[in-house]
This record gives sequence, structure tokens and C-alpha cells, in this order.
Amino acid sequence: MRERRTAYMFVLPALILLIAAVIFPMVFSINVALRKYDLRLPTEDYPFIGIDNFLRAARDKYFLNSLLITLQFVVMGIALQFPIGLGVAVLLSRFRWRRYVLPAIAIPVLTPPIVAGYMGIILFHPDGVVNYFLSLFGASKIPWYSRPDTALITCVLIDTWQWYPFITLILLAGILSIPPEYIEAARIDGASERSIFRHVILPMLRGVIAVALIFRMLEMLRVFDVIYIVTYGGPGTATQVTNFYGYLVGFHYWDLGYAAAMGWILVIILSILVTYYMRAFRVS
Amino acid sequence: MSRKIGFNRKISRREAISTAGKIAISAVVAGVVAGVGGYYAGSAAAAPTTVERTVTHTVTAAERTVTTTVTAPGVTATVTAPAATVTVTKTVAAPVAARPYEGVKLTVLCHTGVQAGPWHAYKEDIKNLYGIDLEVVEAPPEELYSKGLLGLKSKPADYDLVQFNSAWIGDFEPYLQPLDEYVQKADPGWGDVLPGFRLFRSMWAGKIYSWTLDGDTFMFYYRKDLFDHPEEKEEFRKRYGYELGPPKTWDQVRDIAEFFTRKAGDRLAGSKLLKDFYGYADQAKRGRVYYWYLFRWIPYRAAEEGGIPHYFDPDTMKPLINTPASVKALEAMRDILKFSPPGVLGFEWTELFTAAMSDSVIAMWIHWPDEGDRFQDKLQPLPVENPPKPQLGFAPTPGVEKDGKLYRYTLIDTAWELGIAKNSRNPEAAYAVLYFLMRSDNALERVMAPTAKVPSSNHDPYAYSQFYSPRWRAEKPWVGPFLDAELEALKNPYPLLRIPGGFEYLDALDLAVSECLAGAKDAKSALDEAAAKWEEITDRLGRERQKEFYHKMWMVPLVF
Repeated sequence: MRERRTAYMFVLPALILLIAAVIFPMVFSINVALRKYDLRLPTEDYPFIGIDNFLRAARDKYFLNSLLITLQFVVMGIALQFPIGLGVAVLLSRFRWRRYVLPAIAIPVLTPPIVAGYMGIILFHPDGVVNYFLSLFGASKIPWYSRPDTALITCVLIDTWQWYPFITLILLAGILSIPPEYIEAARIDGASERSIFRHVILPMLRGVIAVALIFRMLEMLRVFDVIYIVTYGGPGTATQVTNFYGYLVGFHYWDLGYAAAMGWILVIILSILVTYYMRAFRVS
Repeated sequence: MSRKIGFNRKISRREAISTAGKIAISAVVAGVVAGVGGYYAGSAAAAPTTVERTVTHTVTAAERTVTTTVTAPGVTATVTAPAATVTVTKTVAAPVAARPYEGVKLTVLCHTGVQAGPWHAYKEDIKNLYGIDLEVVEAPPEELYSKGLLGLKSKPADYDLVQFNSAWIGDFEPYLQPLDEYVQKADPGWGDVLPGFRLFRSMWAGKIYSWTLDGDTFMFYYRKDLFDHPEEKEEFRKRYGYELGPPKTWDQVRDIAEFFTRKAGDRLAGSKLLKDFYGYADQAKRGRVYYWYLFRWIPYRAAEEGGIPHYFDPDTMKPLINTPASVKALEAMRDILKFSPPGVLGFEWTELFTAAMSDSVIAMWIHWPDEGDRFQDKLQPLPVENPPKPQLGFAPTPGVEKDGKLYRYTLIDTAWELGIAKNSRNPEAAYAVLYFLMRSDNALERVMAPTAKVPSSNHDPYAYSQFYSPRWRAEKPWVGPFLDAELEALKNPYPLLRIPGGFEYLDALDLAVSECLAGAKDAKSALDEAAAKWEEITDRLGRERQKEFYHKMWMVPLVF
């Protein structure tokens, strides 16, 4: 009994912190999402309206459009970042002096997203570096982030520049942890390098890949900084992702109840996706 | 500050006597602002000291003495002094009880960063003069609304003074102290504030709720070095049939923008152009592009209405942002894009400023007053082989001409105001602080910043004494023409929407404008959609309530 009490005492500080920092805000935000919690209204008792905010979101074409744009952002981002990250990880796994290269590769990950956004503006400015190199091949100036058809991909490219090293680092750790005996045995059996990669390395990396992709997917679904700095959701709604729309509704329109409901819808979607994904990759 | 006790009798009267019999001479008489101690129960009487204030009084020849009553928060003093000439700068002072609010602690919530500069600069002076301990709480602009509103709602208020955006007045009104009675007792210069700021920023429902800190508005800028070039003037007259000059109408802006849009290698200002050059640029990035649309919408709608236009029908709250003239304004805005740099849809403040002032590749643009009063000396030469001396021109934003009448207005931006909490523990002391900050000498320091006293503020001028300040014009010689132009522009002010939900309305408009400029929608359908969104916002926030707020916004004496 005494040991049990001691154990509780050890756990208690962490529990209090968890309740204060996670549980209470979560419960409070559910409460807010179920009320007409709009700071502009002349009341201090924000009325309970049930799931009205959620129903409003289901009818709000800007919210639905923002979900679609967020999905596009994630799909394009993963489609770019995973192959680049994996490719660089495989190259580095064979590179003897990788320990000297790795810190340089990791620099973008350590860059604050706001700075990454501003660097993106410099890179993709009509008179910026990217256009300069394209002009060497005779291309005309592309206003990358101010054209509706290129704005989203520009944000994806900036996000990719910053975050592919994250995938590289995780996958590299995974590759290096594969026991060399498996690869050597495959070589002895006459397998080509491609076969080894496809039939030995990739299957053994499945868990690591799943973790890397889940992390990236979750991060990308929460994208905000790059959009805020580079395009402010525009032109039009071309880059208005869900978090940015939620930011406008919550912190510019002060319609906190609706913003909280949008946040919860995103959380629900995320949970479903992650659960499905974990099952698909058989990660437990 | 003089610590002399008693009247100074050494004032020369020679000049005054020599002008006797003529009309009034100006006299500068120093008065006394006295303080009264012991506001706090049980507090000891403060030691007498002298507090000066300069007042202007016009005297007739017959007057040998001038009697002036000077009031300031916490004190009223009557001073008699000899009539004097304008050259007299001697101070008349009297013993008074200083530090009338000794021991009082006040808290001010203000914008973080450079905007907080004046508070820190004057904190010590406020302590010395009134005895008030001022705690300065800074918050980023995006937090000022929620922090300010929640702080004002508290009883007692968390903040005695609050810097807030005038767009929030509808929400803040119930928790702000109306200042009319205070101003009647001790006026730091209400009449000195330009009508645009007085009526469309500080007043609400016919009452004074705040005082302008930052006179934000918009000016039209153009390359004077280019407009004055004889070769360009001649060529323009030949092509368009009228003189090249600062445009009065948006049609003229289009002509001039077309005229000056040239490729690298062409001639400009009599010399070979080294970069592509563009006639005009808006700050067209999503987020604040609605301003640039409103610069057109206001005069287009005014011409349609035949007078000052409305955002809503005041009786029904039906939005008036998608009328035929509104659509025409947006189409004109989109049309001029072809004379703008390729990345203009990504232009925010920095991009427009850089393209116009540093890269010097734009002939005309509209911006806040920053270029004129702070950065005029940063203008770079035109990108040509032999550039003329760089010169910046200023004008009011263009208008629209209809039936021989020019409809031209200057948008008064919703910007920073200073208000006093209704739930303040000590509103009198809070008003003393407001009074001190708004006094013409201190206000001038703020808008002139950086100065030795106030290193930063980002406050733009808003009062006649600032616009006509000999000191400012002498210290920064380039500012004179700009101040004259701004004063001219502010003769026709027009308010930005400032009812609750203002940002949501304007953001819906911003989205429509952005979509139209990006080519995603035509002007009519984009504005129809924005109008539908405005209806939805109005219904959600309560149509009758919004109507009441809209009326309060316009409840000002419309005499300019």
C-alpha cells in the first residue's frame, strides 16, 4: 500500500501537468466548440448550441475547400519528400563520411518555419534564385507564389526543402539498423542491388517508413507558418489550408466556437487517417 | 522645466507697446498647470513645485495684462501676466502642488515593439509630473483585441488605458469611458485633431471614446523626377492629349501607367532603361488587398451615388459592394495589372516598398504615409543609365469624374487609438496620462520619432499643430511638401468600416478581390459572392444590432 502511494506521488506532478496543459484545454475547447463563443457578441454567457458549429462547417464551402487544399498539400508534399528523403538516405548509407555531411543536411530542419518561409520568398521571388537558374535555360520569370496555379506547389517545395531531411534521418537510422547478414546473404544468393533494396531493405524498413510518414503527414496537416508568410492563403483561396482558415476565423473574426469546431473536425480526420494508416502498415 | 517661483517681471514690453492701436498681437504667455495632492486618502501633501504650460492668447492693444485660465487633469489655475510680443518666451510660473496622483498605479496595454516607444520614453516624466507609476504591458497586434477586451471587461479593469484599433470600437464601447466631460474640463487639443481622425476614429455614436495615437491614412506617390522630365511630358501630351501630372482620376492613372510601362533597353527619362519598368502597382497580396480596392470603390460609388457612399443600405443593411459601379471599380483594378510587375499579386508592404523605393521600377503607387514622412530620403534613382536626381511626388488618392464633378476621397485607416477603461480604478489619473501623451508638444515628439526624446513610435501625424510644425519642417526639410499634400488629401476623409465583424466583412471582400485579380472569378460573381457573405455575417451577428452599430459609426457631424 505504501509503495503504491509512493508510486502515485511520483506520478502526480506529471499528471497535474498533463491535466493542466493537455486535458483541461482539450475539454475546454470541446466546450467552446459547442457554444456560440463569439467575442464580438454583446454577452458574457456564450449560449450552448450543440453541434451547430459542426453542421455549419459541413455547409461552409470555404472550410470544405480548405480541407481539399490541405489534402492536396499533404499528398504533393509526401509524394515529393518521401522519394527524396529515401533516396538521400540510401546514398548516405553507402557514404563513408556521412557523419560530416549529416549536420549540413539537417540544417533546414533546425530552421524556424517562419525563417523557412522568408527564405522561400527569397528563393521563389520573381527576381529570385530559382528564376535566375531557370532563365539560364531561357525560361521567363515565373511569379511562383503569386499565381493561383503555382502558389500551392511553391509552398510544398518550400516545405519539402525544409523537411525532406527529417525523412532522410529517420530512414537512414532504419537502414543502418538492418543487420548486415541479411544483405550479405541476399548477395550470396545472387540478388541484384535493386532486388536487395526491394525485397530486403524496404520490407525491413516498413515500420520506420510508417513512423516517418505519419510524423510528416501529421505535421503537414497542421501546416500554417509557410502559408501565413508566403501567400497568406492566396491568391484567392489557392493556398487557404484548414489551419490558416481556422486562424482567420478564430483570431481575426473572433468566432472562437466555430474555429474550435473546425479544429476538432481536423483532429477527427487525423485520428481516422492515422488509425487506418497504422493498420495498413501493420504498425503496432 | 523651470522651477522659478512667482511671476517673472523681466518681460520686454517694447514691442507690444510699439504695436499698440493695431489689431491683435500674438502673445505667448506661460501659464501654470497646478496639481493637487492628497487625492489618495491619508497621503501626505506633495511638496509645492512649478509646472509650466504654454498657451497662446491674442491680445488687443488696450490689454496690458492677459488673464488666462489653464486647466489640466487635477488642477485649474488662473494666471495673470503682462501682454507680450510673440518673441517673448519667458515663462510665467506659480507655485502649485505637484504629483497630484502620488502613489497611484496605472496599467496601460499597448502594441508591442516600436509602438510602445513613447510609453517607455514618457514613463519617467509621467511619474515626475503626476506621481503616477505606469506599468506598460505590451502585446502583439493580433493579441491586443482579445487581451484588451477581456482586460476591459474585468472589474476592476486589468488595464486603465488601452491602445486599440478603431475598428474594434463597437465591441469595446461598453467598457470604455466616454471622454467628453474630461475634454470639457481639460482639453489637450481636441480641435487640433484633423476632422477625419476626430470623427471617423475617435468618435462613436456622437461621443468621444478615444484619442488618435497614430494618424494612419493613405497617399498617392509618384516619381516626380520622371513626371517632371521634359521629354516624357512632351511625349505624353502628344499621345494622350493632356498634360502629364499627378493623376486626379483613375482613368488618368491608367493612361500614365500604360505610358510608363517599358521594357529594359527602352528609353526612360531621356536615358537607356536598365530594367523592366512598370507604370503602377498595388499591394495586391491576399490579406490587405481590400484597401486597394476601396481606393477605387469609394470614388466609383460616390460618382454612382452622387455623394458620400455607404457600405450598407442604412435602413436594411443590404451590402452595397456589388453595385454596377463597384463591379466597374474591380474591373478597372484588374485591368491595370498589366502595367504592374509580374509578382504583384504577392506584394505586401515590403514588396511594394522595395519595388517602388529601392528597386525604383514603379512610377506610381498608393501606400501609408511611411514613404513620405520617414523614408523619402531612401528613394533610389531610376534604373536608367543617366538617372535624374530622385524625387518623390505626393498627391491625394485619385477619384472619379462624373458630369464635370470630381469625386475624390482619402480613406481613413482604422488604426491605433487610446482609450480609458470604464472599470478603471482611477479614471481621472488615467485621463491625466492620456492628456500628457496627447499634449501638442508630446504628440509632436511621437509623430516625429525618432527624436532624442522618443526613439520610436511609428505614429503618423493627425493634428494641425503637427502638420504645420515649424520644428518638424526645419529638422526634416523634405517633409514639408508631404505634409502639405497629406493635409490637402485629408480634407475629404472617408471612414473604413468599423462595426463589429468589420474584419470579417473586409476579409470576405479581400477574398473576392484576390480571386478576381488571380483570374479565378470575374468581377461581378466575385463581388456577388462577397455581398452574399456580408449578408450571412450580418444575419449571424444580428441584423438589427449591426444596423444600430452602422448608424453609430456614421453618427458624426458631417462637416469637413
